[in-house]
Amino acid sequence: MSKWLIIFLTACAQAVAQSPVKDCRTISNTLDYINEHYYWGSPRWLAKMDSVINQCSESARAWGDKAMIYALRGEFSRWNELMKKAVALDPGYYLGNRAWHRMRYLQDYAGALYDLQKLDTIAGFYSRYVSDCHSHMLIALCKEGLNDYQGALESYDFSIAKQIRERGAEWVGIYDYLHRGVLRYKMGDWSGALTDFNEQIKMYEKLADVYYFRGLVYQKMNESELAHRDFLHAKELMQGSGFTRWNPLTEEFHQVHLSDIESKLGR
Amino acid sequence: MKVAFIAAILSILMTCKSYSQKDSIHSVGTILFDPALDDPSFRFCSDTYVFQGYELRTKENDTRQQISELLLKRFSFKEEWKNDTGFITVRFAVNCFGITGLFRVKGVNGQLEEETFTASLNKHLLESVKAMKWPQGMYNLQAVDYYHYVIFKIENGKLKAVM
Repeated sequence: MSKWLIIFLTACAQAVAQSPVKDCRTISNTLDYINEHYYWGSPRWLAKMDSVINQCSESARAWGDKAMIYALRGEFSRWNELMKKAVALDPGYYLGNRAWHRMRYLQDYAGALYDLQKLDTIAGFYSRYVSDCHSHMLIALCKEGLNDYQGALESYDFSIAKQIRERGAEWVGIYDYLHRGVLRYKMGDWSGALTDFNEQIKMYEKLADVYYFRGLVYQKMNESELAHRDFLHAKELMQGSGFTRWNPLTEEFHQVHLSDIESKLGR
Repeated sequence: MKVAFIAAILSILMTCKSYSQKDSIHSVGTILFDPALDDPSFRFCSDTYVFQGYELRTKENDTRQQISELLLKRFSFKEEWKNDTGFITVRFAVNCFGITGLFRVKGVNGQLEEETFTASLNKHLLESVKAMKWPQGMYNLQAVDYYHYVIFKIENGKLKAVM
């Protein structure tokens, strides 16, 4: 009998999730269900999303979820229209989310920086994280993208110091030293870059990308043997024994490709 | 009692049906044939599912960097575009034979609102996308149809990045 009871309760939960939203406070369950059971962006998915939005127009997540599909398919004006609604309802989350998409899909660093600085004004004393990334790391990446290297360095320093102060050295973002190291390399600060890349390797020793960048630093320091060793190791890691940052939707910041490494190895 | 239970569960499960392949056909980003714009000989191989380019991309077959470098090289600035700033997206379809069609060009300004760019700039970008050899889409070792898009970041008529 208990088996039947479990089946019955599961079925009830599914039925509730599919039914029109009764209480907007539980909208997340409904949105999860729709996203899981309907093809994203299809007419049926859109109809479900619109029905949820009609009933719970104050739900930032409903607007944000609907917006996402337009960014994925390259319809940025529509994405922006919907994101405006999400941002107005929940600026603490969606300003960062919008900035993240602007940076990744469009390399729109000016627009993203505007959003992140606005987020900073409402964040107050506390740190904000966007997709596990400290918001000042994103500010730094935007400034770097706008060629404001000095401003970017200050933001990287501020962000890393604040993360250490608030959460401890072991909780600094997973690629933060890599990003600051790349900027220091671009600014000609070889020893600063080397320190950051070594710190990054301590955190994530199987990351191919960091050996490539450290190899570039060694080249600048006329340490050609060390550079060659790092490029070889980067290649090995990228081809299977380690990891590289990659995602199917957009390029990563400071992305490294196998062809970059191979060109350094002269093949 | 048992029959009622089973009937209730079956009716609920029937409403839990997963999406069908055809749901993809008219989803966001679908490009419908327009006789005024499109080559009538272009055909999709499948009438049930058109992939999105990002669904087929793998770390091993990722050609973004090479494509972006080629498109940057092919760009040649014209003075008449100096007031154009924003993002231009060229979206198109690639069928299972690797043949392209259904090209559409859309622009947004820095505020991400729709914007009409100088026609010759649109044409230049469109022609450079059309001239590229786009990879055949593969899924489970089968050639498939897909939609794809390229974004051009334009500042004062100059091409700053290709995504």
